[in-house]
Amino acid sequence: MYPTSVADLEDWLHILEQIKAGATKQSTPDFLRPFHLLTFAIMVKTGRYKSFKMDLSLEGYANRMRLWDAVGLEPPAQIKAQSSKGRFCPITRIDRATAVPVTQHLASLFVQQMKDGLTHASLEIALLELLENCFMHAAIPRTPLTAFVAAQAWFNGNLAQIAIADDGIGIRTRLMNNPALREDLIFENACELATRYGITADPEHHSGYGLTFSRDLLTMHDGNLMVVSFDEMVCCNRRGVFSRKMRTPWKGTLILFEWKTKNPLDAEAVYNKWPKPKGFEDDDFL
Amino acid sequence: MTTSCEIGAVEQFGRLATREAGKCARHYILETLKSDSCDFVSIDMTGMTVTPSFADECFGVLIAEIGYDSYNHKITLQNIPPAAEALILHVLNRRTGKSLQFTNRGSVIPIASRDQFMSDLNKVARKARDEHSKD
Repeated sequence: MYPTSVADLEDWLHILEQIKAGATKQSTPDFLRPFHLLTFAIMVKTGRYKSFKMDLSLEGYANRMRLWDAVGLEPPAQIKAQSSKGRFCPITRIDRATAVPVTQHLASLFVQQMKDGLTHASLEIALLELLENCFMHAAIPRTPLTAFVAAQAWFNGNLAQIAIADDGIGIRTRLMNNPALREDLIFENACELATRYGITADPEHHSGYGLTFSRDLLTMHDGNLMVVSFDEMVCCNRRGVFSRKMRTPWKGTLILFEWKTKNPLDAEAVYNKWPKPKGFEDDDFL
Repeated sequence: MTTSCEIGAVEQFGRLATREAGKCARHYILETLKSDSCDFVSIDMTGMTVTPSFADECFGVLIAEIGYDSYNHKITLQNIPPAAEALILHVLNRRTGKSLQFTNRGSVIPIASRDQFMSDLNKVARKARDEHSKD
């Protein structure tokens, strides 16, 4: 199964924009992934839609992913009780207090199939950092933030996706908080900058490990990290880091974390790759 | 006589902990050290999944606050999972600018920098040269 491409993402955000602009009927992809439903849920929630209809072929999946529950609307049909153990995590609203239990639940979903403690711990670390970042950096004080997470694993297709989306202030606005980055932000893509080692919006209190950990973990293990924030995006995988402007912006931040379920993820390899203090790099001893 | 206080990381800080929890953990360690009955703290890390934010907020900020010497004398970490060991050393190194390694008893000691290494190497070479010229 192929990972999500930039084109998949752009096309979908364009469709959402058309719906927001009043288009009553839009063609949807034949195959939905968590990020489709997550972004749709935020659009419905923030747009205060009273109802919506989906193709019958997609309705069942959207219903199992609790799309209607997530946006506070009546689902079209009662879902048959079905264990999601090891396959998917329905759309879940996240807040500061639930970051740890949601992370533990998400990571445990995949662990039964993978039977790999290293991957389990690495996933927990990456997810908790991403979810914490979401509340630390996306929210405006005293303003409610709509943030959702959802996940799906296709073990036969050797792929899993965890998607996190919010309608917050965005990465560029947040990074502008750090005076040392303001000049860089004139020329650089904010999403790409945010994934680099040591980049933080709050240099007095934070060290900028959150997105860097996910970027390094996924690029080292043939995964795929995509970060979209307003009209900027970055895609990081083993082929490199690719950033660009989005044709259709996403008003908030969207993170796609995808990995091959047959590849173990090793956090230790990431830490060993991070820079050493001056004078202690391996090259310094050559 | 010195007295050690034991802290179980999972029981006290949680199996998986956030940056906020790292801050609470650091305060807890400092409070424990302030008590009359405690000269140094031994933290059992068994079973804990350590995130970079927790490690930085707890151990990184702690070493920056109390200094390397005090940290080295007063804090030991036991049973650190291998990935967490690499991470904790990374945050300690970044906060101190030193390159540290764990000792068998769980405290940290600096390893020689390139400059130190070259200086030691020069000393050995000089000594060998002197001995050779004597012969």
